Amino acid sequence: MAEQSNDQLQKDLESGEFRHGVEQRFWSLLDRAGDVLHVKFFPRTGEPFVMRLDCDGYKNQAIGGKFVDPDTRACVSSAWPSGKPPFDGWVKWAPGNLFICWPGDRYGIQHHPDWASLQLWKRSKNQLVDYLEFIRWLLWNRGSGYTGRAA
Amino acid sequence: MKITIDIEGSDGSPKSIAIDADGSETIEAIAVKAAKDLGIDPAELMDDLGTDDVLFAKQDTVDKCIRHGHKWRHRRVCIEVHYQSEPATRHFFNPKKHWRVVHEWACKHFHVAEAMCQDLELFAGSPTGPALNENQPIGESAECRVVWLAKPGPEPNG
Repeated sequence: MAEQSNDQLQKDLESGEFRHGVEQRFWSLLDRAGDVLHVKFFPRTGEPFVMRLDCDGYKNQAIGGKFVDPDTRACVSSAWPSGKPPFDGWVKWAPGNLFICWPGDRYGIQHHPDWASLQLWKRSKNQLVDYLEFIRWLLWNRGSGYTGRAA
Repeated sequence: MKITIDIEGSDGSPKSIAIDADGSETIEAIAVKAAKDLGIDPAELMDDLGTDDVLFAKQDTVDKCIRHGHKWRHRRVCIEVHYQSEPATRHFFNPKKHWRVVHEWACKHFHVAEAMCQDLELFAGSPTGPALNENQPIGESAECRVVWLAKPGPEPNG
């Protein structure tokens, strides 16, 4: 852990912006294992969601997020939120095709290679919090179209 | 009988008002009477009126409430709300209320259409500041807190 304490990811986890989200009950850090985080999101309505965040290459590449089952930590469709437009443009919860369709997400970029050149994460002062804030917006804003957990 | 109501807000020192009341009067009637002199909304006053130990209900009588003392208090917190280029407005809220109440008040105050209002959120300090959870209590503050009603979210990804 001493090794982690000086890295940028750890600094961003300890930032005021990250703590604000925790205090406001938007999210909480469940655990960190190396470059992998598990974060719990509290949506506007309904049960929390757990997301695995792959943060290797932090600051040099986009974070990759996948919603996972809170108990098994498996990435299954039933662990994902769903919604109506525009939510379904950002979040793909169909079995076998689970990813966040956003230029700031690593797996979104894999589906849309043309997004790589945007390097959206480089515009962030706090890459982690900007990612979390995007997911928060999806799960909170009435205009996002979020309706609840995928069946 | 004489009752003193202290207004504990964040707009400087507490304001205080002394009113005469009959034992049979309800809290609702007292609130209407006191609110007029204090220049505040009776519903807001009634929302948080009590002593350090107990909050009164609007149907409670003065006789019942006076057992807790002749000195009552009303707590509120100052929120300075901004929206686009409109002049900012300061308003007082019950600190136990959720931020949703501020959001709803702001949409009404700034005449934001309902469909537009649902896309907006409250942010602390600036339109790009940290978001405020509308299911969480406003909380107490010694200073007037600045919040912005603004539209968050990314550009469409299509």
